[in-house]
Amino acid sequence: MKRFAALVAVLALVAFAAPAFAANPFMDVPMNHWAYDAVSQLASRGVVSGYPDGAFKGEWKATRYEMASVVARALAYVDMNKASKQDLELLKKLVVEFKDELDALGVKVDELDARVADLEKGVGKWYFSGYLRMQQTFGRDIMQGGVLKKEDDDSWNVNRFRWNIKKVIDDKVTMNIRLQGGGGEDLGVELAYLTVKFPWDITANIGRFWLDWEGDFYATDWWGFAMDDAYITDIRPTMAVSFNKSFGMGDFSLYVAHDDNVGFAETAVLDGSHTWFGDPDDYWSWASGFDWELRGGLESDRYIYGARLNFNFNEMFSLAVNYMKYDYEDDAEVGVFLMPWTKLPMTWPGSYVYGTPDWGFSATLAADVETIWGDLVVNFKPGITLKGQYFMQDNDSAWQATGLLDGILYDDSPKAWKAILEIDQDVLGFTSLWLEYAQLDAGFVFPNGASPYGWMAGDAFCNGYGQVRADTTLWTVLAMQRWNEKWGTYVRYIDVDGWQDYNNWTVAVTHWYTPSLAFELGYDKLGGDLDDDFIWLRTTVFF
Amino acid sequence: MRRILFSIVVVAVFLSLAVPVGAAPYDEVLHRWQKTQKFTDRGDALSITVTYFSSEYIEALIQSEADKNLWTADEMDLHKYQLLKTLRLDDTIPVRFHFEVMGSAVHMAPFGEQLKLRIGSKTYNPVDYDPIFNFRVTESVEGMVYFPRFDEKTGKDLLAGVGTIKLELSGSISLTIKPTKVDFIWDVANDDPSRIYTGQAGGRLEMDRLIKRLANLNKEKQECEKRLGELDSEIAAIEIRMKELQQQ
Repeated sequence: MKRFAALVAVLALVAFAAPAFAANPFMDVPMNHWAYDAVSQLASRGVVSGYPDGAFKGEWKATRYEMASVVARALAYVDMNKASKQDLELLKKLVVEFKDELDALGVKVDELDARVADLEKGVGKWYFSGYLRMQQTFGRDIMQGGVLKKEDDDSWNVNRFRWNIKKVIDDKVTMNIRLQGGGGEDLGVELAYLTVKFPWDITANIGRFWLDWEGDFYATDWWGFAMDDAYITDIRPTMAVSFNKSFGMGDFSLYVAHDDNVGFAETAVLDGSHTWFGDPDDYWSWASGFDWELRGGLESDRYIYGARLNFNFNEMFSLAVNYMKYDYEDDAEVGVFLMPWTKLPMTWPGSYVYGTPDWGFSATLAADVETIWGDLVVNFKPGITLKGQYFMQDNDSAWQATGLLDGILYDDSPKAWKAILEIDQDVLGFTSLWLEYAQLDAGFVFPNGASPYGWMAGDAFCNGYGQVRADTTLWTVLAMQRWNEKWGTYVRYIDVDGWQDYNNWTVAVTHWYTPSLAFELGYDKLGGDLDDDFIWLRTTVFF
Repeated sequence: MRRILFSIVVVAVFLSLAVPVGAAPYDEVLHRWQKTQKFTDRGDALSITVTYFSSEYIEALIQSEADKNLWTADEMDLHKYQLLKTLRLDDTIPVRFHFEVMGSAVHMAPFGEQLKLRIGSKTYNPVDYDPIFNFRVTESVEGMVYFPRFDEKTGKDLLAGVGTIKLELSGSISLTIKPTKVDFIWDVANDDPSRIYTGQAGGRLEMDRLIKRLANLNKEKQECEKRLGELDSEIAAIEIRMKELQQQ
C-alpha cells in the first residue's frame, strides 16, 4: 500500500512538474511531441517554408525556443493559397503551445492572432485560378470558301488556357483579371475590371467584363460551351461601365460601353468605275465595272447603351424590362450586294449595304440596333420554372437591305420570343429538363455577335452578320443527368425550321477523374441541310 | 418530328405535375426553401445553393431524417434539440451555403463582406459565418452564415410583418458569375419560428436560454456587488479621514 502511495506521489510530482519543465525555453521538445508532426505536415503541404537548414525534415531535435521561432516564421510566410482551415487551426494550436517562448522572443501573440485573422479574411492577397483544356475532334466536315466540304477532318488542339487573377484591394474595391489564349489565339487580356461598392447601395463594374442579362434564358452544358446563347447581351466590349442599384425587391442597372473600329477590317478601294474590296487575290476580291458608290465606312466606333429594371414580386414571380442600343458612330450605308462566289450584284436605292457573304462567315455590320425586351420568370413549383422573353427591335435601314441578297426587304422592327420550361434534376430524380420553343422574325439581329443554338445552327438560319434570314421556329430539348460526383451525361436535340432545315443531336458523357481533371466524350449528328457527324473529346484540368 | 417534340412537351409537363406522387413526402417542402443558382462561363461552372431555415423546413428536415433513420420520439427530440442549438434561431437568422465548383478554383474571402440580407429597405451583414468560406474552394464546400434576427437599437424582430426577404451575394466572388450580384429570395410571411419550440427540445432550449440568462444576471450582480463594495470602502475611508480631520 505504501509503495502504491509512493508511486502515486511520484507520478503526481512528475505530472505537476511537467508544465514547469515545459516553460523552460531551453528544454528540448521531446521527439514524440505532436509539434514536430504538425510542422512537418504544414511543410509537406507547402503551407509554410523557411526552416533551419532551408527545409524542415522533422529529424532535428529542437529546443522550445527553436520550435517557437519556427512557428513565428511559419506564420510570417504562410501561403494562404495552399492553407486549409485545418492548417490554420494547427498553426493556432502551435501558437498556444509555444506562447511563453514566443513572448520571450518578443513576438506578440496577439499580433499573431491578428495576423491569422487577416489571413483568414484574405484581404490584400492575390488569388490565382484557371484551367487548361485540350480538345480533339474527329471526322468533322470543314468549311472552305463558304462551302461545307464533305471531307472528314480531325483536329487536335490546346483549346484554351485561362488564368484568373484576383485581388481584394480593400473592403470596397476588388480587382479581377483574366488572361486567356489557345485555340489559335495568343494569350491576351480577356477581362480586366474593378468591382467598386459605392454609397447608397450602388455597385459598379468598370473595365473589360462580361455583361449578361439573359443568363437564365439559355441552356448550356456543364460548363457553358456553345449551345444556346443570349440574343442581345453576353457581351464583353473593350471598355464598359455598369452601375447596379438595389431597392427593396427590385434592381436597376445602367450600362455604357465603347468599342473601337467594329466591322470589317478590309477597306473598300474606289477606283473610278473599277472597284474592289481588299486584296484582289483574296477571298473577298471583287473587280468589276459596275457602277456603284461608297457611302460610308466599313467599320466604325460604337457605343452600347443599356438599362434594366428587374422586380421580384415574390419568390415565385419576377419581371424585368430591358433596353439596349448598339449605336454606331458611322452607320454602314455602303457598297453593293454581292455574293463573292456568284458575283451577283444587287442594289438598294439610296442606301447601299456592303455585300454580305453567305452562311459560314461571321462578321459585324456597323449599323444601329435598338432592342427592348421583357423577361418573365414564374417558379410555379419548387424546381419547376416557366420563363419567357419577348423582343422588339428597331433597326437601321441597312439591316433591311441585307435581305436583298435573298430578294427580301426585311422589316425594320422585327420581333422574337421564346418560352422555356425548366425542371431540376431534384424534381424528376434522374434528369433535369430544358424545353425551349422560340420564334424569330426574318431580319431579327443578334447584335452581340452570338452564334445561337450552338455548332452550325446559327449558320442554318442566320446570314453572315448574325441576322435571321427567314421567319424561323426553334425547338431545344436538353436533358442532363448527374449520376454521382464522378459521372454526368446529357442529351440535347435542336430543331430549326428557318432559312435551312437543321437539326442536331448531341450525346455526351463526362467523367470527373478528380475534382480538378475532367474528360468529356461527345457525339454530334447534324441533320437537315447541314449533314455532318463527328466525335469530340475534351480534357480539362482546373486549378 | 413535330409530333415527337409535342409528345416530349406533353410528357415533360405531365412529369412535372406528377412528381409529388412519386417523391418523398417532405421533398417539396425541402426544395422550396433551398434555392440553387448555376453559372457557367465557357469552361467554368459554379453552383450555389442557399437554404433558409424556416420552421416548415426544420420540421420537414427532422421528420425526413427520423423516417430515414427510424428514430424513436426521444431520438428525434434529441436531434431537434441539437439542430436548433446549431441554428441559433433565438438571436440569428441562419442560412446554409453550399458551393459546388466545377471549374477554376474560387476565392471568396473576405466572405462576410460579399453578402447581405435585404429585409424591407434595409440590409444586414452577417454577424457570424463559417470561416471555411474564406479559403480556396476547388470542389465543394458548405457552411452556415448567421444574420441578426433583432434590430441592434430597438430590439425589434426584423422579420416581424415582413413578406419577402432577399439574400444578395456579390458577383465578384468568381469570374464565372457574370451578373453584378446573385439574389436568393424567400417568402417568409407565414414563417413562425416559435412553432418549432415545442416538446422536450423546446423545453431544453428554453432551459439553456434561462441558464445563460441566469449566468449573465449573476455576473451583473457580482459586478454590482463589487462596485457596491468599492463604494462602501470608499465611504468608510472618507468617514475615517473626516474623523481624523475633526480630531485635528
